[in-house]
Amino acid sequence: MTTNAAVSRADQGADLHRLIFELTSRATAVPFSQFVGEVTAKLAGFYGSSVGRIFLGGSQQPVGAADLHDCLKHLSVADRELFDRHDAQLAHEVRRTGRPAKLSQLPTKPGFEKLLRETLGLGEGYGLPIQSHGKTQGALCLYHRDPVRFSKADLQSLQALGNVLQGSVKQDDGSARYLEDVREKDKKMQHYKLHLQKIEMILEELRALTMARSVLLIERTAEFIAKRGEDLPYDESHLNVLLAGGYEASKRIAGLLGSTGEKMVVHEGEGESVLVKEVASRALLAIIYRDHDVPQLIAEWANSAAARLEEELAALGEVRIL
Amino acid sequence: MTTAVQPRIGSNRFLLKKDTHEIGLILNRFQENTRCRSVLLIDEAGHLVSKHGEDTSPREATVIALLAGTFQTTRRLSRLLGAKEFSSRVDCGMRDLMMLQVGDDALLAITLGDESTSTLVRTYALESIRRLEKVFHGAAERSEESALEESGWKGNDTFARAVTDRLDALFG
Repeated sequence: MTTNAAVSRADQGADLHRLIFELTSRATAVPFSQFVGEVTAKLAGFYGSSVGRIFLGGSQQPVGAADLHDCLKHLSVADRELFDRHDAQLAHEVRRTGRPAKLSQLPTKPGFEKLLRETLGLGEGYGLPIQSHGKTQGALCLYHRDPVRFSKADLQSLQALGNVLQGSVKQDDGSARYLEDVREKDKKMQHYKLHLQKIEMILEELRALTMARSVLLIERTAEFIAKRGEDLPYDESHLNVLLAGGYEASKRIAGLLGSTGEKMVVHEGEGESVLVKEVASRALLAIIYRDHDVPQLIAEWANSAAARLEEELAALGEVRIL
Repeated sequence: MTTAVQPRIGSNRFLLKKDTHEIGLILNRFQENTRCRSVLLIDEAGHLVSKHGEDTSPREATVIALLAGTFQTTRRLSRLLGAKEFSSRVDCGMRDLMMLQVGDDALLAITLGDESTSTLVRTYALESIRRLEKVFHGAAERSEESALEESGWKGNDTFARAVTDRLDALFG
C-alpha cells in the first residue's frame, strides 16, 4: 500500500516483527478482550497513531480500541456516533475488498471532514486487512495527524497477528461458553438445593405431625428423592421398589374397577403401617408409621403435604436437567 | 351374584365341592353384611378361588393377575417391616379397594360400595377370613386319596383294564 507521504523508519519491519512476537506471546496469558486491547494500543503506538481500532469478523463494533491522545474523550455523543459510523465504514470496506483503504477515499457524511480535521486534529484514517488462512478476518483502523506509508512487510506482519487473533477468538469463544455453562450450572445447582431443602422441610413437618418412623419421597420409578426420619434397618432401595410397584399395581386395579379419582394406598401391618400417596403424577410420598390413634388424620396430613410438595417438585423439575 | 368356580388344587390343598360351597356361603354373607360391590378370593399364584358381586368378567383376568402381584408385593413389604399379617387399602373415592391376607397363601380383595364403610368391612372381613382359614385348614389336611374318595370319583375301570390287556398282548 502506498500513501501520500513517506514517513518510515529504516528498521520498521524488524521492530514490527519483534512487537508482533511479543504481543502473540501474551495471547494465552491474558483474557481475549485484554489481549486485543493491548494489541490495538501497541500497534497504534508503534505507528504513531492517535486512534487505533481492531474489528474482527462481521462485527460493526471494534473488539479493541486505543485513544492514545484522548482525542475521542471529549466528543459529544452525536460526534462520537458520527466518528464511529465512519470508522465502521472504513473497516467494512477493508473486509469487503481484502485490501488496505483510506478514509479519504470513501464517501463521508457532511460535517465529518470538519470533525476529523478541526475537532480531532487528525489528517487521515487507514484501514489495514487482518488476514488469516487466506481470508480477511478483520481490519485494523489507524488515525493519524500526518500521512503514513505502510509496506508489504506491515501487511505480512499483520497476517501473523491475524492468525493469533483468529485462534484467540476461537479459544475465547470456547472458554467463554464453558464459563457460561459453569455459571449456569452453578445457578441451577443453587436452585436445586433450595427446592430440595424446602422438600425436606415439608417432610420433616409431616414426620413431626404424624410421629412417623420415616417419611420418604421417591419417584414413581422407585428412585430416591428425599427422606426424613430414622434410618431403616433394611435395604431402602428394596423398600422403594416395593412401594412403587405396589402403588402402580393398586392404581391399575382401581382403574380397572372404574375408579378415576385421587388414590392413596395404605399397607396395614401388625405394628407398622405404610401410607403411599401420589404427588404431582411423578412421585410417591410414603409415610411409615406405628399405630396411630387417628389414622384418618395421617391421610389428611399426607394430602396437605402432597399439595405443597407438588409445587416444589414442579420447580425442581425445571432445574433438574443440568 | 355367586359364581360357581371349579374346585382347584393348589398349594397342597384339595378343595372339594362342599368346600367351595362353604366358601361361597361365607363370602355371600359377607357381601350381604357389608354391601360391598364385589369380593374375590384369590390364591397366591393368581388363581381365582371364588368371586361374588359385580361381574368384572371382561377385565377379570387382568384384575386377578394384578391382585396376585400386589399380594406378593405387600407380603414382601410387610416382611421388610417385620409384620406377619397385613392388609392393604386403596382409597380412591367411591370405589375403595381393600386387600386382606387369608392364611399364608390367599388374598381377599374387596371393592367397597357406596353404602360400605371401611371399618365395618374390615371387621366383617376379619371374621370371614377366620372362617375361610378354617375351610383351608381342613382342605390342607386332606390327603389325595381321601379327597378322591370324598369326591366320589371312582375312576374308569373298563378303560384301565383295556390298557392292561393291550400291553399284555404286546409284550407277552
